[in-house]
Amino acid sequence: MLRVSQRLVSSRVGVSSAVRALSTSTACLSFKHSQRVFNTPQNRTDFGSYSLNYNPIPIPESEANLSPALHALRSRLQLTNEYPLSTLGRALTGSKSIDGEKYVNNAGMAQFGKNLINYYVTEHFLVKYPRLPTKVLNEVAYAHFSESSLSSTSTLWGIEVNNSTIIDSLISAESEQLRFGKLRFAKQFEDLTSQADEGIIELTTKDQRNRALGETTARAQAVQAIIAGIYAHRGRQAAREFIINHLIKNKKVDIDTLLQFPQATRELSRLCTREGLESPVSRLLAETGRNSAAPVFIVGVFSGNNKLGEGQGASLREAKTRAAVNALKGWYLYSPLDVQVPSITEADANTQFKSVYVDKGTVVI
Amino acid sequence: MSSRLTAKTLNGVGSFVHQCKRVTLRYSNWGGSSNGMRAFIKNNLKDIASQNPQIEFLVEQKSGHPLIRGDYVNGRDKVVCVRNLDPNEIMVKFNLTKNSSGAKLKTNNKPVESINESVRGIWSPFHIDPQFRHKV
Repeated sequence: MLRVSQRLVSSRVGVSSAVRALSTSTACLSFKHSQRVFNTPQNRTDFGSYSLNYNPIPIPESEANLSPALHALRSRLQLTNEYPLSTLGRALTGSKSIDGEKYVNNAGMAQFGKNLINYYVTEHFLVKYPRLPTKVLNEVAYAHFSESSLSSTSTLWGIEVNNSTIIDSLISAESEQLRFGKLRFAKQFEDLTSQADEGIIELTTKDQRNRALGETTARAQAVQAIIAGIYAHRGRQAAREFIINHLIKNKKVDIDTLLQFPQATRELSRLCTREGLESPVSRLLAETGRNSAAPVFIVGVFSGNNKLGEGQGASLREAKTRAAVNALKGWYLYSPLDVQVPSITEADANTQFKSVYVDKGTVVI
Repeated sequence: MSSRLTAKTLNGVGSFVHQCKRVTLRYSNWGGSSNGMRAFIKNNLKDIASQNPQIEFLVEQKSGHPLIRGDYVNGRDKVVCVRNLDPNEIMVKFNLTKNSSGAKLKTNNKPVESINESVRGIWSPFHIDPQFRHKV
């Protein structure tokens, strides 16, 4: 018998219908105290028959219109009037939100937005630095689309977290619209447990299921969801431009600090052999205080008459290694001019995509 | 995971997001020092709010001297007391609040501050022609 946990069923629904979830009600988990979100069919393996047992509604546009914070946020991000405030309000409704039972949350949007961001960011760096080792490339892309990076972006956008509890808002008779402009998510759950049915083996641990959404994750999902909203209302091109301007161009990562060469001189030597260059030779260019406590050596590494790199150090060996590292960084951080990313054709149908530089790969030592 | 790299955000490169997210105007209903603020709210606020849609405006009535308070995306706020000021002077204070980044005030001693490396590199005594090098 095929056995699945409820968690698996729900995540399957959430991922496969990422795009459709933009228009339909969300399929994400929102457990209440030992209350099931899914109606379980008689035949447990009949996945098509699982259904939600609550019907979240979208935030009405008339309600969202009354939220000054939503107006300000839309204007601050220059999302234009084509972007409805109800969508923006939905993007700020966390997948484990306290009013997740009533209003549709951002889970489907976040998943879709995440895919968009990951695609455009990865494409950008793949084309910009064609020689970067895969590990480094992944790390650079991750530094741009990781939750912590997106979370700091959400802070820059002025997205605030709703800190008032349900009781607080009831006591202060705060109108609901005021909360729409803030990021709403449940910070902690006492118990998210749902008891597994008979004959079902749970594959996820209780700890995994009970993990509440952290603020970083909730903020990241809000950013992803806002971008999905741009896609839905203003099209793919607008979403692409937004990602480039807000998540790529205005971010900085020192890529050269990510490169590490345990055997720099050896790697450089192999590289020269592979590329058909003369084998590298290190030469002392300048020095001072050889017999003092603080000597300085400047070493250049040459292939024939071409200087590949230069390094300085307090010993000849250190200077030589630094020179080799400098040469290798020069090679791996090569960035061709006037490159086009494949998605350039989305911007203008007449644009012909020029093929990009494809490297042979990293050197095998 | 926390040891992994996170990209630094440079506001203004590629895109710019206004740093002042909320402005609170506080006035007293009867206090004489709020005369200017009451006139400001009555006559100027509507125009200002429509000219600055990126800012959320909050009008607060509380006894005491009137003030303008700005809340910024970095989580800080700036409070300016505007007692006995006329609407024109309050406008100056409002612009000050609006255009501030919310960061602490600091003196800039260097003409340029950047997180980018200098493209020229730093001067090195070892890279000039040996005949012009300083001899000990």
